Formats: sequence, C-alpha cells, structure tokens
Amino acid sequence: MATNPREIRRRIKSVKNIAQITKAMELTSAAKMRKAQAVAISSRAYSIQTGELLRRLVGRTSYKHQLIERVLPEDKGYPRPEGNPRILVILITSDRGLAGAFNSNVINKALSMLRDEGKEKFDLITVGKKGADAARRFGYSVIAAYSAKDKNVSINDARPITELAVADFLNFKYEKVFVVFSDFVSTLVQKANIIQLLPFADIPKNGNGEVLIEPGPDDVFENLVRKTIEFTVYQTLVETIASEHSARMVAMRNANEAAGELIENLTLSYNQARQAGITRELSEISAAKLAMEN
Amino acid sequence: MLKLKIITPERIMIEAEAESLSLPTDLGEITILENHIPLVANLRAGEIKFKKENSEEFFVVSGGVLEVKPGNEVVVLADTAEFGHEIDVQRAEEARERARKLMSESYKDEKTYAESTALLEKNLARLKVAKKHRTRTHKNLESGSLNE
Repeated sequence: MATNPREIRRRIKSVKNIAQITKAMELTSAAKMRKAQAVAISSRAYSIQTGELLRRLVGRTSYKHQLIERVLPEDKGYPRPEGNPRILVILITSDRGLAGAFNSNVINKALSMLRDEGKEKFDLITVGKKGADAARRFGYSVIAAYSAKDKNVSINDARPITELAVADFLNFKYEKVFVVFSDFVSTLVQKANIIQLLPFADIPKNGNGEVLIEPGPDDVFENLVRKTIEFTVYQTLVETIASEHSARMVAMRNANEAAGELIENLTLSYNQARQAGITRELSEISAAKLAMEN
Repeated sequence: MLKLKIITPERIMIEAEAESLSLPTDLGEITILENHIPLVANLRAGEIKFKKENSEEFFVVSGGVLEVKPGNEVVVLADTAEFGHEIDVQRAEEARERARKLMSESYKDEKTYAESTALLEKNLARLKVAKKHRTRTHKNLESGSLNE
C-alpha cells in the first residue's frame, strides 16, 4: 500500500469516479432488467402452450412433418449430400460486456458441446458481438452473425434466424439445430442452457384419443410448427436479454460494494499516513529546537 | 361451461368460463359448445365472440391456433389479440390503406403479396371490431341515460 498521502488521495479519487459509473450502470440496468424480465415472463405462457400443443398433437397422430422428424434425403428421392451431416448451433449472447460471467457462461456451455463432438461438424449462427468474437477466436465457422438487441425485441427479430435455420435444415445441410442461450431463472440466477430446435425433439407416439384437425394435418402442422419454432427462438432471445440485464445489475452492485470498501480502506491509510507525516514533522521541529538550545 | 383461455405472446388475455365461443377458422366461422370433441384448427384474422350468462364479449385476433381439449377446456393461441377499446382506429385505417397499396403494387411478388393480404385482412377485422365496440358502448350509454 502506498504511504505517500498525495498518492493515496489520488487513488481515492479514481475509485470514487469508478464507483460513480458503476452506480449509474446499476441503476440503468435495474430499470432495463425489470422491463426485460416482465417481457420474458409474460411470453412464457404462450411458449409453453404452443410447445405442449405440438407435442400432444404429434403424439396422437401418425402424421409426419419434416421439421418434427428428420426425413433422410434418399427417402425423398434426393441424393445424399457429400460429407458428414453437419450440426448448426445458434449461440445467443449480448453485444456488451461488464455483465459478470454472463457471456462466458453461455459461450463455455456452447464450447463444451462443440469440443465433445468435434469442431469440424459444427457451423454457428451468433447473436451478439461477444459470441461472434469468441467463435472467431476459437476458429469456428460462423455462417451468420447478428447483432443483439437489448430491448424491444419482437418476433420479427427471431424470423431471419429461424428462416435461415429452417431452410438449411430442409436442404439436408444440417441434421440437427441447437440453440445455446441463457435461461432467466431469477435476478440472481441465470443458467446457460442448450435446447434442440430441429428436428422438434423426440416425441413418444401414443395414439390414444381421436382429435379432429381442421382444415387438415398439412396446414395445421405447417402453421403450428413454424410458429412454435419461431417463437422458441424469440423466447430464447428475451430470456437471454433478461439474464443479461440481471447479470449486469448484480455485477455492478458487487462492484459498487467493493468500491465502497476500497474507499474506506484507502481513507484509513490516508489518515494514518497524514498523521505519520505530522508526527514526523513535529519530532523534527522539537529535535531542531533541542539542538539549537544546546 | 367451457373453460376458456386466450393466450397471446404478450399476455394471458382471458381466463374465464363461457357458454359458447365463436371464432373464424380456415374453414369458416365455427361455434364451440359444451362437450365438443377434441379439435385443433387454424384461426384466421377476425372476430372472436364468447357468451357467458347474459353478456357477450368480443375481440379481434390476427390469426393463431385453436385447441379444444377433452374436459371442455378451450385454448386459443392468438398471434395478436385486442379488445375493441384497445384498437386505435386511425392507425388501423392507415395500416389498412398501406396494406391495400402494398397489395396493388406487389402482385408480382408472391411473398409480399401474401403478407400484405394478411395485413389487410387483419386490419379489416380490427376496424370491424372497433366499430362494433363503438356502437355497442353508445347503445349502452343511451340505455343508461334512459334509466336515469
């Protein structure tokens, strides 16, 4: 620790400046967080209901939709594409940092899956600058990079991502599509999560109970499946945004507390150093006086 | 009684009991009563009405999916849904005109044409419901003043 009072005073000042910034960031993130959390939570009901409906419907009917069960190219009369089937990962992060471990949690989750399976098999779509940077740094192939929004996300933001993934899935370019994102659990807890987007996961077939489908399975499934997939992507976007703001708010609050503690400690050593200076001066003066008297 | 739940991406709009429910599907308007067999249907843009006791409530949807579950449970997953009083008539009219214009310009481009048709249908339905809401409330006001 520095012993020069002027040096300590300078450090106190700079820590105070940082504390001011983190305080302001905490307040803005808190406001954004409340909004983002409300959005994420209010759309959960719809997201869960569409998923459940689709699952129930698929379980009950013998109808096969390409987006639900993977159809092999040769079954449809197409030649099998060359090379091994590839896997697409949609990695959702934020554009901005200073949110604690938020981005690295999501990125590590994705990387651990990519490493386990071998990185040659994967292509990435990234949302957010942090994810794109990480993918580039580790040398993964990125087929599209979107910038992240941190508020006012609409279903229109999920559409281009979904369309790209669905088109390439139907072209047999990819055998699976995953989304890696941050699930918002609470203000203090956000969990990096992986879900399989396409094909629409495995669903047990239990053909119990009849169900009338109007106008017909083709139209209803097409409508419902696309809607569900699009909305799943949208939900992951809003969950990630709610997580981002929550993580940032908590990180800034911690920074604030740490800054307060640091200021306290520094003030203490400043006072000590100042007192030491005064004592030294006094003893010098009295020493000089003694010398002159003698 | 039907257990009715109407859910949009933004909110759970209605959670109520109803005697009957009428909605616009791809095959035309249908009405759901008690003990309906399980049904899943695509919804079009239009007006949804439901009756409970002596009152009737209505609102507009822009499309979605209807599910009738066993046990008189009805779930409507709407893309968007609005009550009459929530509709901004002027903006709906502007949107309708925009859609109409886009439709006449984009007859060559299949995708934009389909989109603009859907937009037009949606706004026509919104205007219809908004208008119905206005006449309804006026009637209520008149009868209210008579009672006084």
